[in-house]
Amino acid sequence: MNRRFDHEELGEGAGREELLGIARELEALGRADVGVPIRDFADRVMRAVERERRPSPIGAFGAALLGGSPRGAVAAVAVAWRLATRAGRAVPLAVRAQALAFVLVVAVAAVGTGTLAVAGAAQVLGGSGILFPSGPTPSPTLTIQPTPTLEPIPIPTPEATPSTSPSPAAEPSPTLSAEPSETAEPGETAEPGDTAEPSETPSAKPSAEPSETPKPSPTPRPSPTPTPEPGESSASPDASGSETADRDAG
Amino acid sequence: MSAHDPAGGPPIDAVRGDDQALVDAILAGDRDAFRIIVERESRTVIGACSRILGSMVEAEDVAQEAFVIAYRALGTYRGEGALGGWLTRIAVRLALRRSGQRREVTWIDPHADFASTAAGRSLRGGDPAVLHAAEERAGAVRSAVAGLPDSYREIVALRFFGDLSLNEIAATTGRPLGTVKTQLHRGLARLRDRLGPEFAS
Repeated sequence: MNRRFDHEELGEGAGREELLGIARELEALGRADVGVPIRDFADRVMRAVERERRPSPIGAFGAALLGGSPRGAVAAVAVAWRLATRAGRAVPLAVRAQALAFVLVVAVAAVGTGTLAVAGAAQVLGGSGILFPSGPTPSPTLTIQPTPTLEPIPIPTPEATPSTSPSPAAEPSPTLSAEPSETAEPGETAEPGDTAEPSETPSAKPSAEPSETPKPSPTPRPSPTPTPEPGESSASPDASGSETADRDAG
Repeated sequence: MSAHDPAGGPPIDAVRGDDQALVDAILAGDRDAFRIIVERESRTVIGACSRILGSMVEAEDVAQEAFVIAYRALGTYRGEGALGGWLTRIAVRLALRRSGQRREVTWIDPHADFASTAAGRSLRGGDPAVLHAAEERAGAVRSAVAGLPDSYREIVALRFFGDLSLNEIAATTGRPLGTVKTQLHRGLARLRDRLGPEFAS
């Protein structure tokens, strides 16, 4: 009995010799003859055990939960699973079925609790705007803008098409469009479909139709820009012109 | 003695040594399978308790309590380590708790049967003064071990009193081997500080 302590069990560190001395002292204590257990020790234990209920993973699970031992609870579920899936006839069918039912109940309870926890967390975080931030600030500016841009449509000015093309807003660079602040600019809200969603505005929709923009030659006449209506004052001439350009192209 | 499979399978003796089969037989309702475990492990468990407590009578009481607790908790034995190590761990924890509840100063009873103590048995036939000195020394070591912080105390006790290897301790406690080594090192360092240089030499 008592395996000899090896100095390598100490690992690295200062004062190994002193620690080895302490280990030898403990070793000597462990080597001391402890005597022979009393003859009827097993009977004594079995008499004590007879008063106990049959051990089961379910009981152990409850005890672990009451004792605040999640590790024990997990172990009980694992043992129940082992009993339920053990091959051969070593485990009676009733015990096997009981263990399987227990595992299923625990699994359902765990899934239900997890779902509730996720839903609760989503509600808490969503309500505080952390998870689902509501964006009320950009939406008003975007919803207002489509109305003036649509109004210039009936103006029959064929000259307006060239006037719009040279505007820098018609050629949005990717770097600019990536910034959310660009969505507030009226020049990019020319298409009503884009203005509805802020996420759509950064996408370079105008750049998808490059064939219409490369007509810079007739620019020198900015005069025909329509007289803006009161609600149209915020929209730039470029925007209205580009709208008409789209119309013409269509 | 032969425990039988309640489902009419092979007798438990056929699978003696297979810890998990024994445990599953008990969980399936075969109480006699537990006797096999008790008879197989009692010497180890009582020995560990006796080394910690220094008293055979007290050690048997604690060992019996440990077996009953283990019986109740068999539903959590996953078979990750040896069943003997698992039982020893339960017993060592109980013995350490019992040892920690003792008073720091123990009065030596001049009428006590010294031969029944661990030192008395190991040094049977020697000079009584030397025997008492040895017993006092052993008592000081036990007391120092009992005074260690929980995590160090358990590792030291399992290694030296429970006679488990570091790998077995790691498997039984579920801690990484590196952690077990570190805790053993620190536990011994605490003992050195507590016991003084005369023990470390």
